Amino acid sequence: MKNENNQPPEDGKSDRREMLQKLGRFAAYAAPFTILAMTKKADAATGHGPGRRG
Amino acid sequence: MRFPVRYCRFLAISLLLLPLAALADDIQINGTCVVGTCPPPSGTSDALQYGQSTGPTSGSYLLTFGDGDKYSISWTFEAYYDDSGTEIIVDPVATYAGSSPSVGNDLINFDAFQNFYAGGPGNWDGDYTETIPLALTGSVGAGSTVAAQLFWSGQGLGEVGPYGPGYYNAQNTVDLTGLDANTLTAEYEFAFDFTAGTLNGASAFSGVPEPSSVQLLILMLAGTAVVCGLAARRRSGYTK
Repeated sequence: MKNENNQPPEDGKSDRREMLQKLGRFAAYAAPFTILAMTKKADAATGHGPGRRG
Repeated sequence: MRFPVRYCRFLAISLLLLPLAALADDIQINGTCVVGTCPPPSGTSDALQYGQSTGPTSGSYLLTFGDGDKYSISWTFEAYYDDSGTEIIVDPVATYAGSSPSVGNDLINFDAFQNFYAGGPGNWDGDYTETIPLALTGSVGAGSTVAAQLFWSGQGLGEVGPYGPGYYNAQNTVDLTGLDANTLTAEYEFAFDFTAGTLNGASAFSGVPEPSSVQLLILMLAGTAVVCGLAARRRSGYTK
């Protein structure tokens, strides 16, 4: 059902939305550090093989 | 189907902590194993199996020769075993850290190891490629060089170098056979030779940082946000 009147959600649902907002903020702050940590050394010395084949 | 909020939180935190999940790498400098076990033992205990990866990890080590010459050595390391095969990525840097010119001929051997394991029938035979950027910069002593080579289960793909000061990039591909054992070993060897008269800050290294697998992580985080957002809307009574 569409909430046409923009009524606040029932109790419990608002808690979840708050939690999701907090999670969103946490992700926004942590993402740059995570991305930095995931940075690959694209110009580093690399080696590649085919993997094991049966 | 319900999608509990706690699952969203768990998923997002797991994604953010993903870079910290790493199997140990093994690094040896001038015969001293500074990380892990060098060389790692055969079998599953120190090997990547299909679908696994390690790193990126990083480390540093201060190497002091008997004559007092000091070098700051740092590195990053990562390895993968997935649909595209086996891969190892190493980025060592050695920098002369003495305040006065070096007095001896200082050879630094940096070796990075990674084992891969797969049980059952088959072999690891096929084309293997090494791609090696090398650089020697700063005020190095006359005759200083850099060189490197990747070995797969003891079979070398060809030495790159030795090169004098400057920037270089080389690639070799070799069709290797006889790789029947369950364990495939990779050993990346770097030889940095600084002669006497090297000055503070002179460096030998392989590679510079550049973003790459960032897109995948962004996609995963965005997907998590969308799924969690839709779940939140549904549970809040908002429908389209």
